[in-house]
Amino acid sequence: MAEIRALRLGRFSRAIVWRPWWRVLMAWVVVGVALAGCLSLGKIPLTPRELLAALSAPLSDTGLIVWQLRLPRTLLAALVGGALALSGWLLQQVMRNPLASPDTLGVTSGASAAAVAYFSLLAADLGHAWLPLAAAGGALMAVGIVYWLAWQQGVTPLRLVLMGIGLSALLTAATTFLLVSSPFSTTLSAYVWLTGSVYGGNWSEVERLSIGLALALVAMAPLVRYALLAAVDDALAVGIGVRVQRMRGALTLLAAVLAGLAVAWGGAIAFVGLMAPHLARRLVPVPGAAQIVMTIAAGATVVMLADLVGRTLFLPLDLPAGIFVAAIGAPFFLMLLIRQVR
Amino acid sequence: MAMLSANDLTLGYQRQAILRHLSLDLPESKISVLVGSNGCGKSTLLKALARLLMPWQGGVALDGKNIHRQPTRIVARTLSLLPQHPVAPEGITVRQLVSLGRHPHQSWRAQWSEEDERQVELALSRTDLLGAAHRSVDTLSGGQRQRAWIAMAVAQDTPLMLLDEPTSFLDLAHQMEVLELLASLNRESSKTIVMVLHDLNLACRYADHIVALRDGAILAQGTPREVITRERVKAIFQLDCQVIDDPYFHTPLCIPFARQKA
Repeated sequence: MAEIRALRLGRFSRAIVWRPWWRVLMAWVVVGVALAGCLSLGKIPLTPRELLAALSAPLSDTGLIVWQLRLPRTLLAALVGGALALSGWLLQQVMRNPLASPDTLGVTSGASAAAVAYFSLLAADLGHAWLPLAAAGGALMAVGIVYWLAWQQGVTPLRLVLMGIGLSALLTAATTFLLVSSPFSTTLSAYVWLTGSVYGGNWSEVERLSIGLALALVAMAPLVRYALLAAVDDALAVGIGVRVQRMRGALTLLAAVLAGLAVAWGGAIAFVGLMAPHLARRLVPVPGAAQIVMTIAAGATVVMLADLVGRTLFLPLDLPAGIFVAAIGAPFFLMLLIRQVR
Repeated sequence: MAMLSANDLTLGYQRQAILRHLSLDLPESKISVLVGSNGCGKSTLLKALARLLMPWQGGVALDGKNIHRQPTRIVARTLSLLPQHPVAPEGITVRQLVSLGRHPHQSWRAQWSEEDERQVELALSRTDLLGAAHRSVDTLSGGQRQRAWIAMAVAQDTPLMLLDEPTSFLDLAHQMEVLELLASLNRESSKTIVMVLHDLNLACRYADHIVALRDGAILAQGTPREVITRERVKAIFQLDCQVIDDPYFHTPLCIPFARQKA
C-alpha cells in the first residue's frame, strides 16, 4: 500500500500516487528558474537584484521592460508550450500512439492554412487582430473534418491518425500554394507565423489565451480519469462500462481546443506537443495526474527557453521561438529515444 | 442474480454472418466453456454476450433485459470481460491496472472509496500479486500479466465473468494456475464464469457446462461427459480420436489421432 494514498472527505475520494510528485515540484522550480531567466536576459541583461527592483517598480525603465515586454511574452510562451504539450499528451493517450501530436490530427496544418489564407486575403483590410480567431477556427475545422472522414460506426485511433496525415498533406499543399502566390511581404509575415513566434506578446493576448485555456481546463476536470482509460483497448474499456466513442470524441475535442488556442497565439510551434509528453514520461513513468502536470511543465519550459534563445543569442535579431523548439528540442528528443531503446 | 442468455442471435462482421439464430442459456454460478474449431464463432459469441457486438437479429439478455438497452456502466457492475489480447497503458503499475476494474463503481466524486481499496487489495491477494503490485505491467512475465488482467476483472466484483482464451500463450503450469484461480473464484464466490478454451481436456476438467459450436451454431451442450464423445469430437473438429476416462479426475480425456483428410 506504499505507493497509493487515499484522500477521502465524506463521499469525495481520490487515490494519489505520491512518489512522482516531488519530481513534479522540482520541475515547477525549473519552470520558475526559466521564467526568471527569461525576465533577466535580453538586450539589457539584469542581475537577480536588478530584476527584483524592476519587478517592484513597474514604472521604472527596467520595470517597463520587464513588465510590458518580457513578462507577457514569456507568459505567452509558457502558456502556448503548456497547452500544446497537454494537447499532445491527450492525443497520445487517445490514439494509443507515441507518435501522435497536434500535428497528427491536422490541428497545426489547419491553423496554418487558415492563418496564411488570412494573411494573404484578409489582413490588408482587417489588420492582424482577427488572426488568432482565424487560426483557431482553422484548427478546429481541420479536426472536425478529420473526425468526420474517420467516422465509420465510431472512430478507431488508427483511422484518425491516417485521415489526419492525409488531410494535413492536403492543407500543407494549400498553404504552400498561398505562400508562393502571395506578395513577398505577406509571405514573410506568414512564414514567421508558421515557424511559431511569441514576438510582441502583450498582456491582452496573455489574458485572452489564459481565459481560453482556463475554460478548457475546467472542461477537462471530469475527463481526467478518462484520459487514463483512453489508453486501454476498446473491448476492455467497454468491459468496465466506458462509453468509448463519447470518451474519444470528448478527449479529442479537448485536445483540439487546447492546441487550437495555443497555435492561434503562438503560431505553429508544434514539435513541443510531440516532445514534452515523452520528456514527462521519462521523468514520471506512471500515467496519472503527476504525469499530466509534468507534461505541462515540460512544454512551458521548452517554449520559454526556445524563445529566450531566439531573442538573445543572435542579437539584434529576434528569431521565432519555433526554430529553437526544433533546433534544441529535436536533438534532445532523439537522445531521449536512443537512450530509451538501449 | 446474474442470468445471461442469447435468444435467436444472428450477427457477424461486415456482411458475413458468423452466428445464425443461436439461442443459449448459461447456467448460473457454474463454469461454462465454449469450445469449437478455429473460426466456428466461439469468440464472436463471447463478444456478443459481452455486448461488444451489436446483434443483427435477436439479442442478448442479462437478467431478462436486453443488454444493449441497459446503461453500459450498470451492466459492468454485473458482468466483467477479459478480452483475448488486452492492451495495458504504457508504464501503468499492477495496482493501477487492477484499480481500473473499479471504474463502474466510481463516480467523479468517489474515485477511490474504501470499498474500492478493499476490493483491489482482495483481488491482488487472490491472484497472488501483492508482492508485484508496485511493478510496471510491462515488466511482468506472461503468467503474472495474465493474473493481473484477471485481478482487474476480479476487482470489478461482478457475479459474472467472461474470458476469451485466458490461457493462450501460457505454458502448461501457468494454464493450470489460471484455471485453478478461476475454479476457486467459482467455488468460493459462486461466480458464473464463461470462457473460451482451446484445450479440450482442460475444458473437460474445469467445466460444469460445455457448449460446442460449429459453423456459428450450437452443436451440443451439457456436462463434459455428455458433450465430449468420439462422435461429437469428430463433428466439432473433424478429428478422429479416442475418448477415455481420465484415470485421476474421471472426466472425459480425448486422445487425438491424425486429422482426417478431407
